[in-house]
Parts: sequence; C-alpha cells; structure tokens
Amino acid sequence: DGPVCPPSNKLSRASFPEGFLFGTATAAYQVEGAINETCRGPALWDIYCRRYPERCNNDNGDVAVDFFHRYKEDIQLMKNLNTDAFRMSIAWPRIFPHGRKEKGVSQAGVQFYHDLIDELIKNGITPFVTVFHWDTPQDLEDEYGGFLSERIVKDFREYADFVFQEYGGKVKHWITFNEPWVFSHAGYDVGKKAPGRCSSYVNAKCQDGRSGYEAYLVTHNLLISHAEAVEAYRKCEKCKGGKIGIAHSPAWFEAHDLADSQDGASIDRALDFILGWHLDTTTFGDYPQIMKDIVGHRLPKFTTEQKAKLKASTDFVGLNYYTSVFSNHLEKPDPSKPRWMQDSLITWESKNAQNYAIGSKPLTAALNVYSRGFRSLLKYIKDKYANPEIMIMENGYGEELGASDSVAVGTADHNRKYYLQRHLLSMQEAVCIDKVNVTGYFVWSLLDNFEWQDGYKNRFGLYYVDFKNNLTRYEKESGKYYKDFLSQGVRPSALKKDEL
Amino acid sequence: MSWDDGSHAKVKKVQLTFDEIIYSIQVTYDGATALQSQLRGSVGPKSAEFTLAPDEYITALSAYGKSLSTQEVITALTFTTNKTSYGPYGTKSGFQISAPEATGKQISGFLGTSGNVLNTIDVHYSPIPTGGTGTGGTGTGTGTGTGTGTGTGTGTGTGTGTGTGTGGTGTGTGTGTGGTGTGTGTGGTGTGTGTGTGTGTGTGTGTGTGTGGTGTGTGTGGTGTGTGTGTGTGTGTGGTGTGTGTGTGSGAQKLEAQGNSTGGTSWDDGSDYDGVTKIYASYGGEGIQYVKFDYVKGGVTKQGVLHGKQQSRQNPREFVINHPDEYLVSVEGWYETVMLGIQFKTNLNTYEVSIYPFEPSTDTKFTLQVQDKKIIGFHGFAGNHVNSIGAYFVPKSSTTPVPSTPLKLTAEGGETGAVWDDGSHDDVKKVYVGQGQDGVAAVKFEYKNGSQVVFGDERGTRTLLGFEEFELESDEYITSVEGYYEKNFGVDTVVTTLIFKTSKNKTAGPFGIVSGTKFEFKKEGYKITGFHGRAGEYVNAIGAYLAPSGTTPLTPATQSQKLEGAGSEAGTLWDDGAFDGVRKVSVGQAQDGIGAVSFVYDKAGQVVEGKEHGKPTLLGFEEFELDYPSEYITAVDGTYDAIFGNEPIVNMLRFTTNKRVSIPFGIGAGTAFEFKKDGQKIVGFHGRAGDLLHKFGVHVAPITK
Repeated sequence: DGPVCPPSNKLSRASFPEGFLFGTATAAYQVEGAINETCRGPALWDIYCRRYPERCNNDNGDVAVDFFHRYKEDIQLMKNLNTDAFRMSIAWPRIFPHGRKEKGVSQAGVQFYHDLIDELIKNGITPFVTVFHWDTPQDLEDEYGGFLSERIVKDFREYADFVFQEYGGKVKHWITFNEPWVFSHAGYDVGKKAPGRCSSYVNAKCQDGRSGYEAYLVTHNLLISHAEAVEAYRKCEKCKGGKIGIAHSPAWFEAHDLADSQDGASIDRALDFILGWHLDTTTFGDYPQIMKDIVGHRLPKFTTEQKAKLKASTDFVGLNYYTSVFSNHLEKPDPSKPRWMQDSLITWESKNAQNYAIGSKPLTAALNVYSRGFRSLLKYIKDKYANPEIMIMENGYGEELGASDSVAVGTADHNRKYYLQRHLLSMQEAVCIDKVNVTGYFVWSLLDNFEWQDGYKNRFGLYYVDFKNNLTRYEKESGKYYKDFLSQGVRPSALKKDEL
Repeated sequence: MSWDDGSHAKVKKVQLTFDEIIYSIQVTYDGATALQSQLRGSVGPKSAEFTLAPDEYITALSAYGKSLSTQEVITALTFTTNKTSYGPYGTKSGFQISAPEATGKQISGFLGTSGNVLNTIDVHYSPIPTGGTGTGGTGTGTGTGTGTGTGTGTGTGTGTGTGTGTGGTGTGTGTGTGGTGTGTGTGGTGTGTGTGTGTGTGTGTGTGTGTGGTGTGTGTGGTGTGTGTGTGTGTGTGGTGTGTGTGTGSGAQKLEAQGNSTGGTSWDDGSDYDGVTKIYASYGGEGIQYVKFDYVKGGVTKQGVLHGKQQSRQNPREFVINHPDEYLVSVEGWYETVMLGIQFKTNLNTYEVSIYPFEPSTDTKFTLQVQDKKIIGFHGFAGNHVNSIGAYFVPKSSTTPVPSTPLKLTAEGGETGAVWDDGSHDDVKKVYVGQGQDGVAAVKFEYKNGSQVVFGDERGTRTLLGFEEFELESDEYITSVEGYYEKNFGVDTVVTTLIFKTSKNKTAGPFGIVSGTKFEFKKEGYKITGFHGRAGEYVNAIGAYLAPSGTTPLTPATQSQKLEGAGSEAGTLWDDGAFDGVRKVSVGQAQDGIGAVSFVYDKAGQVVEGKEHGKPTLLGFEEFELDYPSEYITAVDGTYDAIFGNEPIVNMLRFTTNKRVSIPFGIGAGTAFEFKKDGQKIVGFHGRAGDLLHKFGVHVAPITK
C-alpha cells in the first residue's frame, strides 16, 4: 500500500512514483516589482521597508526581479529546467488596491494574473497559486491593524472568493496562507519581519507590539480566515476538482541531550507549537491541548461553529522545509516576559550537548543542512495526521556571498546543488521506504529575489539574478542539476492531460 | 530480490543458464561443508557449468550489463581463474562491469540481485589460502647471490684508502649482485658501505670496512632475479672520507634524434658524463638557432660545443641545472622543417625555448624520456638551425637516490570506518565521488601503472545519488587534493567535500558541501599517486600517496603522436591511448549517426580490449577485423554533421589498411575529414562521446618492419 516507486539505480524523476510533480516556487512581493502599475495599492511590506529601511537591508520590492514584465521569459526558464509546475502568489493589493471590493477592483491587475496563468498553461506548466503570501493591503493595516483584528476575516473571504471565482476554472491547486507560523512569529512576536511588532524585551527595534499575545491573536484570525476561504472555495462551482491547503513551515527537532529525558520529551511539544498550532487546528478543529495548557488565557478560543469549519479544512498538507534545530527544554520560564518560544518551554540550539552541529553549515549558508530531518518530519506528519497527501511547497538553500558575490561565484553554487541532491534523496526514502504520500516538490526558488529582511543579499535561486546589470538571469550549477534530474523518466503532463 | 552468498573457502562449481542474457547462477562452495547456493534467477534456455580443481581459484569476473526499461540485466559473464578462463556465457552487450584481479586474492563468494533473471552481480574477495587446502605445500627456495661492482667515493681529506666488499649469501629465489666499494681518505679508521640493488627483485648488500677512515659508498649492482640479500665485508686503508660510490651498469641508452634529420650535419656530445649542468639556447624568427650544453664529470665541468649558428637576431637563454640535486628527465620538442621549440624538464623545473607554443595542426611533437633514467648527453643534427635532437640516458638512481617508496600522507578525517588503501601507482586516471545525506558517501579511483589501468574498489557506500566523475588526460596528473571533514549530530566524522587540482591548472569539484575542517595534500614537485583512508557507510577519512612528479614518464618514449580529432565538443572526452597496433574495430549505429565505437588493440603481443565509447543501440555493432600484425590501418576518413536535435555528430567512419578499405560505417554527409600521415600507421583512437559519437581522432606511430 502507499506510493509505488519504480526500481532505480540513480536518483532522478524516474525514481519517484508516476505523476509526481516537480516545480519551482516564488511569491508576488519577492519577484514582481511594478508596485505602481495596474493601479496596485500599497502592501504592508512597501510601507515597512520605507519606514524601516535598515530592517529590509536597505532594499525593497519596488522593482524586485521585474517578474511582472519578464514573466514570459521566466516561464521559458521553467521550461528549460524541465519543471512541471510553478508556485506563484497573487498580490491582494493588485486585485483590490484598497483591500476591499467596494473600494474598487483593478481590472488591469486581474488581467495580469490571467495572462500569467494562461502563459503557464500554454507552456505546459501547472500553476499552484498562493492566495496570501504576506502582502496585506496597507489600507487594511491602517484601518484596523490587518490580521490583528477579526475584521480581516470578512475582507479576506471576500478577496479569496473573488480570486477563486476569477481563476478557479483553470487553477486547480490553491494555498490559502504561506507559512502562518513565520507570519505570526516573525511579524508579531520577535519583530523580524513586517509589520515588525514585538515587546522591547524581545527586540529593541520594535516600536510597538506585545510578544506572547499578538502572535496568538494573528494566527487565530488567520485560521478563521482560512476556514472561511475554504468554505467559499468548496462552494465555488467552477473550482470543482481542485485542491486547497496551507503551506506550513516547521523545522524538525532533535533532542539537545539524549541523556536528558526532558529534552527528548520536548520534541513533541516543540512540533505542536510550530506545526500543530496550525495543522492540528485545520485537521482536528482546535489548538493542541499542550498549547491550551501552557498559553492559557493568552490563547484565543474558537466557537463551536468555527471549530466545525476548521476541522478537515484542507485537502493536502503543504510543507516548506529548510532546516532543523536541537530542542533544549527550558527549566525556568519568566512569566513576566511571555513570548512564543518561551511558551513552548524550549530553547533552540544549533549545537547539541556534545557540541555537534545538526548538519553542515558552509560559511556562506544561512541555515544548517540537515536532510535527515526532512524525512523524519514527513514520517511524523504521516503518522500523526492520518497519512494525508503532502506537497513540498518549498525547499531550498540560501546563501550570502558578501563581497565575493559575482556572476561567476554565484552560478558556481555547488553547495546548493548538493543541498537539493540530499533533500531529494531524503524525500525519495520518505516516499519509497516510509510510504509517505508526497505528490509534489517545489524548489524555492526559480531565481534569486527579494528575501524579506535580508533584501537581495541572500540568494535562493536556481537562476542567478545580476542586480548590478539589468537583472540578467544566469543558470546556476543547481539549475543544471535540477534540469538533468528532471530530464529522465516520464513527465506527469504526458500522463494526466485529461485531468485538466 | 537481493542475495548474498557470503564469503567461503573457495568456489567449487558454477552452474549457469542463459541465452542472450544470464537467467540464473548457482554456485557450489568448498568449506567445512560443501555448500550449494540457491538458484539465483530462473532457469533459462541454455545451460553450462564448470568445476574448479582443488588448487584452482576464481581470480577475476568480467560481466556485461544492460539497462532495460523495466530492469537491469546481466548479459554475459566470464570467469578467470589462476589456470584458465570460463566463458563468456551469454552474449556480450551493454556496458562492462568487472571485478578485477586483486593481488593474492580470490573470489570467494557472490552477491547480487535477481528476479526472473540475474539483474546484478558482485563478488567477495578473500585471500588465496596457502597450503590449507592440501594441494601441495608452498615452496620457498633459497639462492645464493654473489656479484661484483665497483664504486668510487671522494673524501674530504688527503691520502687514499681502499675498501672492498663482496656480496654475501642471499636467501630467496635468485641471484643478487653485491658491489665493491672503493673509498678514498686519510688517517684514522673508516668503514665503507656499498649497497647494490639488483634489477628485478634481487637485492644485494655489500659492506666494506676500511682502515684509517670512513667511507660510505652506494653502488648499483648488476642483474639479479628473485629476492636475495647479501652482505659482505671488505677492508680498506685511508683517511677520513665520505664517498658516494657508483656502481657499474650498462652503458648509456641512446635515443635517436627527433626532428627533421634531413637537414644539417650530425653532432654528438657523447655520453661520458655524470650530468648536465647548464643549457644554452637561442631562437630567431625561423626556429631554434643553436643549443649548447655544459656537462659535469667527476666534479669537473666540461663546456660543450655550440650546435647550430649564432646569428644577429637572437634571443639567447641560459638555464643552470643544479647538479646533482637537479637532473634532466625529459626533452620535448616540436618542429616543422627546423626545431621550433624545446622544453627541458628536470625533476624540479621546466625550461623552455621556443618561437611559439606547440601548434597541433602544423607541428610535429616528440618526447625523449625513459622511465627512471636521466639525460647525461645530447646528440643531433644542426646547420643554420637546430634540426633534430637526441639524448643519452642512464639510470638516475646511480648518483641521486630517489625515494623508491612514495610518501604516504596520513589520512585526514575521523577514526571510524574500516581502513582502506589503494596503494600507490604511476598516476591517477579517474576519480569518482558520490554523495550521501551527510557528506561524501563513496569514492572510487582508477589508476595507471605503465600501460595498465587499475580499477580501485569502491570505498564507502554508494547512494542513489550515484557518482560524479572526473577523468584526467593522458599527460595530466593530480597536484593537490583539498577537502573538508566534519562531525555532525548523529553521524561519525565524515569527509564533506573533495576538490582535485591538476597539472593543467584544472579544478574538479568541489564534490560535496564545503563545510567543516579543511585539509590539503600537496607537495611542491610531487603528484598524487594513490589514496587510502577509512570508510563504512560514508567516507570517514582520506589520505594520499605522493611521488615526485618527474619520476615516471608522462608520455612514453615512443614516437606516437596524437592527431587532433574532427567533430564537435559535445559529450565527454575519451582517449584509448597509443598501442602497438589495432586488431579490431567495432562501430555501432544510432538513429542520427554513430552511437558507439570500441576497439581491440595489441600491446607487446597482448590483446587489449578498449572500452566502449558512446551508447550502443538495439542496432548493435558492425565489426572490421584486421589480419594483425601484417595488416595495419593507414588512414581513417569520415564525416560529421549537425543534425536536428543533436550537437554535431560523427555519422560515418571508414578504415583504410595496407591491404584493403572497409565499408563506410554509417551514412556519410556533412563535413568530411581524413587522418593519414605518410610512413605512419594508426595505433590508437580518441574522441568525444555522450549518447552519440561527437568527435573522432587517432594516434599514429611510424610503421616498423
């Protein structure tokens, strides 16, 4: 039972079950640019990077990598890689410039995504669309604080319903929210990402916010918004035959000290806080019990009706995997300084008690490379959440090349190539040995782009973007590998033409 | 299913069924209980079996395999024993897989995978038992070796002392020749030691004792066979002195002058020297104008005569050779009508005089070099220019002992995993590095020993990621290996990446993620000749063997020449090298042109089967067999073309011999080419190939009677 893998001597597309989709991923704010075209309204990150340039590496998404104008050429890059699918997001303020339909719909914005989606389909690339990838319309931020207010629920449902009705006939794979944990935690608990809110005892840069409270509130509103959007989606006639989910972004955890039973026991708790917070809720209809026990009154409660809508509110589990950490249980939390990390009663460690790193971390790497954690996480989700369909919505390798950054150095990205090899191998073992029902895999990212607080210095692409010279794209070693990996076996488009 | 018979005392009987492919194998082993394995696979149309004698062991297995759309199959098996060979069983097609002969080892068990047919096969090696099987004991012979040699030593004092030593008795099988040492010195009591090294495997040691001084002499003995050690004592008188003895050997070896020997007049500096101390040369607009050499004999410098002509427009060069630490190992030159460039290579440096670098399309290139010998004299032809040059060679160990054992650098990395050691060879030919989830999972190396290729075992455990490969060119060697190792959570210390640098300034890798503790194997004037380390599930540690980069010939001292190929730069480079001649040509067609070629060569009477280059299709191969040695290939012509959907490919090849012309193999169209050189025959092939043959070229050598 479970996935059927062909016998294989060398890892390639042909080592995976027939129909397995491989693609690349992007998000609107990180690639599009053209913030003043199509009557697009300001997004949360536009204003954040203007207000706090130093918190965006003095960069912004005004031009990004100009995907808005170059999408046709970039789709040829996707084809060149032999990919089957492409994950993109729709910028809410490009559809509703002021956040709500009654304040106006940008027909030019609506048309842009039609053109983009049509061009993908025309080239045999299956579109995967994220409804919300962090670009809240600034007008809603100004009006009621965005996701801090439950008023977002109605506005989000209206926006989501609009895009389902508009594109649902041709887009059959939807992601309501990208990385809710990062959105809530980085934006509202530690102030690392927009809107950059937290308590001053967490991060002195934060000018406003309340750690340990707001993140729970934001996630609460986000989850209810998700449930409402899914209800709208399931009522959408032309959307029939499609699938909808959330792209989660957990780390995997290993015990900091195997000799300390409390560290071992902390792993399930850590996973409940980082993943169960959203995945338990959309699967079973409520927050994990351990969170209710620890967070107490700071964790909002769902009504019975909300729980009913949340339960089984996804068709698949989207998973973004990058790295793992050691979990060290926390002896003495300080109740006067609440925050999400402390609530989980652990600290995150990059070295274990024996002073070993969890995986290689090259000098230019952003994160430790630990592919075995990927397989462990997949097995964990299979076992805990009743063997759901899983799609890897992101997996990739970031690096900051610093002063040595150049086309030659950037395209010789051997480390990224090997990162992909290891994770593809790990995923193949999860699918073919552990029989985890993974059906798709997306590399983050097609090309280097605006990496939020790190601006353009942190590169993730299979294509190098020369920011000094007209944003020219160059294929990297990793891109060549992915292309070669995908050149073998049978492309799913050859199999399931009749499904679309 | 995968199966593993394990390792046994020896293989007794092998039963096979097959037709186009191998259907099954069943092996009976000897041991405490004669054990018969399960039938691996299912019964096929034809069957065969063979039984080994009690003192017969399988030493090597050669197999051919093929990837079908549904599974891997083994198409043919050949078993080699210490007495004969069995097979091939099946039909050779696809790619070759081999379990090569390992010194002193036998194949003592098989493992593999099979379903309805045999899918893969691998072997266990174990030592060949000595005496344990009751088939006659192992004999150890005892021989006596005596011999004489003369050695001279120079002392720092005055007076004379003489020490003589005679080789003593040696044990082993053969005779060794000791040396006689002569030392000079004054005052006191001295001891002279003479060491004689026999060629072959005989070693003779002679010790001479002198009175009144100390003299140490090193001598090279004459011919010895087998292994023998002899010690002798002699007496001498004289003062204090340390001397280096020179053993008598054969006279210098003369390599004929290379270049255009029709011009100029003959010159010969002779060979009665210890070495070359200085080179003078100059070039003008047309070529090398003159050469002149200073030699040394017994510590006295002898100025040579200028060969060629000093002219008004010239670019004189002088190179001092720091005798005796530095010595000439080879001369490389290129010419049209006169010499255009000469490169003198010593054990330490390369000195060049040329009007322009070697141009393969117009120039002819040669190399004068003899393994383990150095140049002590020159001869040639010269007129207004240098027309040709030849050299005299003597064994270099006669005055400058070169460490005969390579340096073994300690392995870097972790302490876990099993120790492995490929040993040291002449050169590294090909490198394979395979990744796993935590670092380098497996490595494998191919080496060169003379004209032989040695396949190293796979070290570590290969994953589905397979291997990345890097092949060195025939005149290229590895100058350094750089890498990193790291200990991370949950795994032992593993090598995370390897980077290889070569004599042609190429860098291969990094193979793996660059992270952890850095290490490097490198020594000025040395090259990497082997690897060792530790491995289990991963490669835990790696170390290297180093040998002086000038000690082995990079190109043999034959006069073969590589002609630039025709076609495109697609695919990967292959080069069979140069042999004595070609025995058989096989050409396989694909839809758009030639898919694959392979050749059978002859080297010193031995049949050498070349590898398959390219990818055979269901169309198989057409063959062209030569009546070797009376028939030889004099020319190859063909065409290459750019065809839709492919890089330009070679689509036709035709072979002309001294007796006939082959059919055209393929549909000729596009750009025509021909390889032919008057007075020369074709002795090897090279080119580029991927799934198709993209480029094709030849090696030529003079036709000898």
